[in-house]
Amino acid sequence: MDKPLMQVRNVKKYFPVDKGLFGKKTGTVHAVDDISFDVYEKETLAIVGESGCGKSTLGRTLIRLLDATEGTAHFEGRDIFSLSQNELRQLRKEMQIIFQDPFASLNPRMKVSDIIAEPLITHESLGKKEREDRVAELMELVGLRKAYGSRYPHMFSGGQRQRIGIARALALHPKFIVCDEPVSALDVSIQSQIINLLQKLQEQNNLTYLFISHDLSVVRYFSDRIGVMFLGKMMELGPTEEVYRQPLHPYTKFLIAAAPVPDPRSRNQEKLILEGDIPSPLRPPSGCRFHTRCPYVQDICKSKEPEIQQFDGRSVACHFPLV
Amino acid sequence: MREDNTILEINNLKTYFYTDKGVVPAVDDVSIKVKKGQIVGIVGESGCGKSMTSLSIMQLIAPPGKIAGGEIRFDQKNLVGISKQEMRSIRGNEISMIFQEPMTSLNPVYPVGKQVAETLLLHNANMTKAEAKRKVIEMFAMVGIPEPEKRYSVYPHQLSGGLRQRVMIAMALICRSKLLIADEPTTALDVTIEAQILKLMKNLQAEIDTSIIMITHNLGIVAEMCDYVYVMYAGKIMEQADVFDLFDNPKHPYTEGLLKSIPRRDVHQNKSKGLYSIEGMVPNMLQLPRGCRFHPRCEYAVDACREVEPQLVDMGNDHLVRCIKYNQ
Repeated sequence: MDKPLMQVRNVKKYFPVDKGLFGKKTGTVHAVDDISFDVYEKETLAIVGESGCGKSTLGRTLIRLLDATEGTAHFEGRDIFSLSQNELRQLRKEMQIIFQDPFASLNPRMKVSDIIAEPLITHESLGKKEREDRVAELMELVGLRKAYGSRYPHMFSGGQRQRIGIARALALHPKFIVCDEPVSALDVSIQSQIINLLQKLQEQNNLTYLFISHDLSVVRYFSDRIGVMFLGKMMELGPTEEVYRQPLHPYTKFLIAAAPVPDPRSRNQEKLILEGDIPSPLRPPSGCRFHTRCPYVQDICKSKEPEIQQFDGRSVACHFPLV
Repeated sequence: MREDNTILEINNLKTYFYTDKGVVPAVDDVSIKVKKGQIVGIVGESGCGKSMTSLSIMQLIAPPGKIAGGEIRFDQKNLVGISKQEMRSIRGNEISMIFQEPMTSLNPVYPVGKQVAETLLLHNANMTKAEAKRKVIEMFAMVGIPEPEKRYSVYPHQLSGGLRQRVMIAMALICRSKLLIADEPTTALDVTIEAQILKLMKNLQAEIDTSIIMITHNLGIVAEMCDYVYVMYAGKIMEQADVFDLFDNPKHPYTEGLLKSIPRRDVHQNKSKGLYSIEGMVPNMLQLPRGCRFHPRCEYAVDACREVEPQLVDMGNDHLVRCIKYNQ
């Protein structure tokens, strides 16, 4: 965890909003708005935030499933955003994604073995036998029985489908995997199986994860560093344990405190609760985007957007960080 | 004699689904008791029968499902087999329900206030429309909807998920129901909004003295909200206990496994050992394992577990567990 695998600088991703019959542009959603950070080799960097904060858009932009509006992202020295289609094809081997919904991300008409083999067919020139061997190896790696290869996705439970998606993502020996809410759709007892699998695969294959999640409990357990997003902005970034022990941004503090704790004794503690709703990303508040919900708001927060401040290894975008 | 503070008593409820492929015992011999003013949790994973239990109480089981046995006593009256008309006067009035997805439970083409007022008018023949409107606006204010007069006439799509769930809660409580069934009420909401809704439910419960059945897969919500908890697995109650007792001293291997396998936001857990996990997956309800339904996943399983279905055993202190370890 020393060398940056990816350097993300001032990335912006805007979506035009069209309305009416002639698709007149009526606004812009600043889904990802000027975000910079590094992703280090073999680490798990969690990106957390509530719906609409831009965390999934960020993940997809970084592996060029979406084209960035502005900014750069250097992966092993090359700017991903300026690659040609041909170069991009090569890069796809190195960067993969695991989706949240194992029901929507697998083609229902394909057999499991064909789903896993597909990246091998498009990217590698393997013989039939070699390919079958690799598929068998991948299925074993993720804990699927070999006999399941000839079945179709609908015959599997959510947890097993997620294993299929993971096997497909691993097929080309990637270095970097975007995990977009990989356990959110799973039952509690299956969730821990998949988390353990992701951890084992990371250790065995030296993988780097960008772990997108809204689950503050899973993130504390699983990630090395954490980035907290709110309405397109990175509010805070730092080593996970430090951020949980002492959050610097008020939003981080309240976000962590909001998740219920599986211990009835903690119910008597006065709970920190954020009032109000998440503002619309179409009309983000002026100044600091969090100011409408922030309990510590001051006048300057309403007019001036806070600069990112550094505190040894941590960064926070707040006029009055909690130090 | 029954204690008279019991509002709901389910005895040996069996809700079965008669499908082409066989009979699915979605709720299999389940007994649950809810006292006045109590928050009772039913916790379990998908397919365990927790939602089917609540739909049985509401008499909303549709074919091929059927209540195949047992009784549901609400306020001394057995709801199983009562007329549709009688049930209609109870549903939404004395027992109400809120669901996971407020968008699908609200009619998109009517203003939300009107929909809530409809509930009131339906159950109170003498009430005028103006009076109903006034009551709805009052209730909107009570559940923390900002600008309640203005919100009375907006449509569901104009509200955020959190506000929609507040509308649903207003609708559920406007008739001062004696029992509120909340089926995963915050699962579709963001975590900061979830915290608001849970706090609201708890405050309202204390204020109106409604009993609540909280159906959830989230043990954090159980710990935060419930007084008494039932743990379901594959249609059966595996364990039931006071919430403190259950978390301090889980007796069933399934409960123990669930509690051990959840990551926590409030403590640091060493990653090098991996998370505890219950291996395998929930059984196919058409081919349930013989003996204890949990035995294929249980790390303590012995031969007898594969043969005999264990009974619920009373461990004292209202703590019951269905495991052969305690069947002597």
